[in-house]
Amino acid sequence: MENSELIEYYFTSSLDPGQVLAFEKRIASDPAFAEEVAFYLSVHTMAREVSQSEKKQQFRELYQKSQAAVTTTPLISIRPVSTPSRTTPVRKLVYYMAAAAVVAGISFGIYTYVQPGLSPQQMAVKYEQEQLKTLSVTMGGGTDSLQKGLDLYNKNEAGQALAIFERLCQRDSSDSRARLNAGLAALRLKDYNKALIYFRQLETYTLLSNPALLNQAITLMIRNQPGDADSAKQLLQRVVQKDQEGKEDAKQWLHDWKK
Amino acid sequence: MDSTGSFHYTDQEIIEQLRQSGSDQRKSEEQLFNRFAYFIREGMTKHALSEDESFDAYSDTILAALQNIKGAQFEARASLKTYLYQIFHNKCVDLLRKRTTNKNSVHRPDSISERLLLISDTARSVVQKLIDQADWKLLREKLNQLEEKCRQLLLHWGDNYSDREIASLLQYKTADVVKTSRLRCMERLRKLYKVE
Repeated sequence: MENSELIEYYFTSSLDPGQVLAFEKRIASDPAFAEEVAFYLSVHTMAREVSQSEKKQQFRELYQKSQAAVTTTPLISIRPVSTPSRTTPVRKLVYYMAAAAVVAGISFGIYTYVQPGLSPQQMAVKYEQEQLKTLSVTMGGGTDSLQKGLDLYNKNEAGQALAIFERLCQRDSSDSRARLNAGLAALRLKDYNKALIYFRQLETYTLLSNPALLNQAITLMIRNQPGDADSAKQLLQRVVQKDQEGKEDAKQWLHDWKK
Repeated sequence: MDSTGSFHYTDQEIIEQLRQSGSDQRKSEEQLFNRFAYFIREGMTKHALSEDESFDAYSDTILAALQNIKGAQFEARASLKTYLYQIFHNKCVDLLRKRTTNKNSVHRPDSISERLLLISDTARSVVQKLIDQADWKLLREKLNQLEEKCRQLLLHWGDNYSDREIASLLQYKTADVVKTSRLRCMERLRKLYKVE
């Protein structure tokens, strides 16, 4: 196999774990090969850069055209940014009305937030959106790759994050955090079967705090296929019985579930 | 129709159009750009950016959103407007920070290909060092010297289009032909780059 093809296979995750290890060892020991890999990535970077700057130019032309159509006066001269403006009584009234609307909105929000009667799927989706939206990047250090993966996850680039976490899982079978994060990234991507695989693997690790059962329950609640709700309920009961991570949430859900 | 003269599509319609990799894609991208172009003025008033800076922040927002929408990372949990405004706000703040720290590099790309992160830490540092030594200006120059089809092929690849999508966009017979052609184009570029 030619080097260019080998590099291509590596970056499209088409090599088996043994080949991946050999590839990475070769980078460290063969400068010419490392240079080929660097060139591949440099071209990918530059191709994106050029493509994006061409699109930006296309947007600029579009914007200029739309500005010309709206007015012949340059946008910048419409109103200087620093010009102080006097607040008229009518404006004040608008502010008061806006404030009243905000208060009404917050009251409505509080009412809907505490309103009971969410379905198990809604409870889990709400939890996922609120509690799993961002993951701590600094917690416990970890490898650069793990941190990068978390960073990508937090930037809503779960696909790229998952690729990194999966690579870490392949590389180190004892890496529980990579498994947890791979599961969460798969969950974000709505790849529920894959998420369940990682969370089930995580369950086998002896950890001081293990959210495997809770995350399996959440995944099943969101997937909501026939039988999922019952399985999720059993998992939540196990979380409570075993005093595992997420016990309080599990208790609350089981309580609301009965309603 | 809206003020820019284009028809008003729903969020879902815009997203679906953007995810279809056909020849109308450019039109869909322009529709998305036009729809929230008023953010540019908001960048000027709320963040005190110049028109040029605010335009940069907004077009970078659209480019980032396009990648996320096409890559299916956008899950439509929030409206497109809320989603784009969040990105736009962050871009404005980044721009202000960049302006105060004056870290403008003329030729170096803003970020290296995310594929670098797939390499293990030890091997990555070797590759990273080599990438840091790249002559970006020369690479851009040589990339632009390639014949147009080759250049377009590499640009789409840089944009993370799959070989199958590229085949349909650039009228190659199959994804395999795209892959072989792409590797050949890379080799041509490599020769051009190394001659200097």
